[in-house]
Amino acid sequence: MTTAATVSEVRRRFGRTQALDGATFEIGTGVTGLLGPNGAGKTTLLRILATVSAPDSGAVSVFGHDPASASQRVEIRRRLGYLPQDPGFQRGFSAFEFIDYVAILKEMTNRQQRHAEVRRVIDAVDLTSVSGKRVRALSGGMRRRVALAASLLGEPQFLVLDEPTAGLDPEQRLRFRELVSRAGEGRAVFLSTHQTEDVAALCQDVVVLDKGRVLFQGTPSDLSAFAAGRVWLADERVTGAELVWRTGEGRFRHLGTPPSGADLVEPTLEDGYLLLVGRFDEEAAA
Amino acid sequence: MTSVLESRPTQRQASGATWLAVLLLGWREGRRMVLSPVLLLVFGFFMLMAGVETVVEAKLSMPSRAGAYDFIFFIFALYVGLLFYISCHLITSSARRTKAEGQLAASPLSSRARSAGLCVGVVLGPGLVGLVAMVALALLGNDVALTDGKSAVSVAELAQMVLIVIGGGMFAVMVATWLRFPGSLPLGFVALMFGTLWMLNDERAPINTWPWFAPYLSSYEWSDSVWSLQGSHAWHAVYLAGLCGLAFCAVMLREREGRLRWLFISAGVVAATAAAGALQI
Repeated sequence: MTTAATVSEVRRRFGRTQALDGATFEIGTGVTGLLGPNGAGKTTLLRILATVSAPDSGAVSVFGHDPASASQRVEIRRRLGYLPQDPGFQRGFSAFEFIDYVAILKEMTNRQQRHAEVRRVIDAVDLTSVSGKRVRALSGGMRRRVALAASLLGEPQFLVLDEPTAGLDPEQRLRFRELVSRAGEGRAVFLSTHQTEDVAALCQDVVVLDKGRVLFQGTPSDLSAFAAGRVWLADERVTGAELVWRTGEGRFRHLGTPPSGADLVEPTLEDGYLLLVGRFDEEAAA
Repeated sequence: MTSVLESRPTQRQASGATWLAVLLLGWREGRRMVLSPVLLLVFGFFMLMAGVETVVEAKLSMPSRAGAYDFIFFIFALYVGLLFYISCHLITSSARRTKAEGQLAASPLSSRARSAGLCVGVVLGPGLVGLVAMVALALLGNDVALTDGKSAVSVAELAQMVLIVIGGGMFAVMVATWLRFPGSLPLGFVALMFGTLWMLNDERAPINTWPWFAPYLSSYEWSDSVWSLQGSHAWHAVYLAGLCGLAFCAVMLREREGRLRWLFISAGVVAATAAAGALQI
């Protein structure tokens, strides 16, 4: 495994909230997904990896550089693309102008090359037709794509994406998968999401975070396997299951300890994730 | 066995273009500051009012070269300086207000470099306009001498006007950089306006040359039926440049890293400004 970043015993507290509580894992080349419930510490972790925020304790290393050192932080940023969870845009900028502005901050000083690169990333997120429009006049999904385009500038070696598919329509989500999949070839992409389908479709590795701790790191199929033998379908709702919902076919999908003779089915990544987080929550409550 | 992904140098890094990026950013920010709708709208309104007043006064046969001098140098500088303060504060604080800081903070240009870019932007607009005006003044020569006993308009006076506008912008960047909360714009505005007016009020001044230390134009004094100049226009311009430099140092001191170096530089700028302040009178 080729390591792009390592996170070791990282802790971060905001007032009484322990956002990160000794998180430890590695990010390799390819696409790594970060899953976790709301308030798990995902955004805090991504901000630390993007060098926007610093941990209270623990160590972070990106490409062997320590973000705590000013000079090494710059070296990391020169190879980094970051899409925040809630990107903002200064008033008055068109999509092109905003991305061009970010390109200047990324030290792209040659006007011709910079503009060519800006056009490339705008095209990559399928915004060419609206690139001259004010960002604030664009829809939420389009604005998200503007921010995504800005993060792709300069083909970064390490791409940190915080809920990149939030607000995207199904077609754009598929386009996004293609884009990220290409970005992960020989490079590292770390993306946080609530969309388990995106992780299943895109990621070679997955990290599950809850209450600031890493519950799991492995392949998506390992996470799915966590639920092996614990997912079944039934015509009626069975009490005692940890989670039950009615599927599109009208049958009930159950997660938990199956009764004898249950119609066991192949678990999905979502099943594994739900059981993992559910078990951790129970243990934490106990 | 794991290996660390090799961090290959990028095209950007190879060009060593940080300083160039700061200048480019300055150009971009300067354009935003000068073209700020706030500045243009209020400036347009002010010019309209001034035009109406001039026409009315012309009918009353009141305009004079002295009137034009007062208008251009005292009113224009005051208004434009204050308007530029508003425009520069809005641009400086725009990333914070629009929550765009997250994405920008992850860029290789540090927060200090971005602040330096803003300061370059502040200087560029008024600086270019001032440069053109100074060249024009040099070409016009003494033709702009005033008729009421004041001396000819000098390049130093013009430089003061430009420096007051730049100072308004620098003060704005300083306020927006240090006071990162809503309401810092009016707070800084009130401090700048009333602070300047308080210093200009020579009736309450501890020394009679006190108004010369205000961040404003050096002025002639009317006493014993003659206009007299109690100090040097040129040194006052240097003093104003020093104040701009101090605001710049304050902006640079906002970041913790490398603060000691900037403290030493600031000490030098304080000494130079104090010297210019003493030499002007």
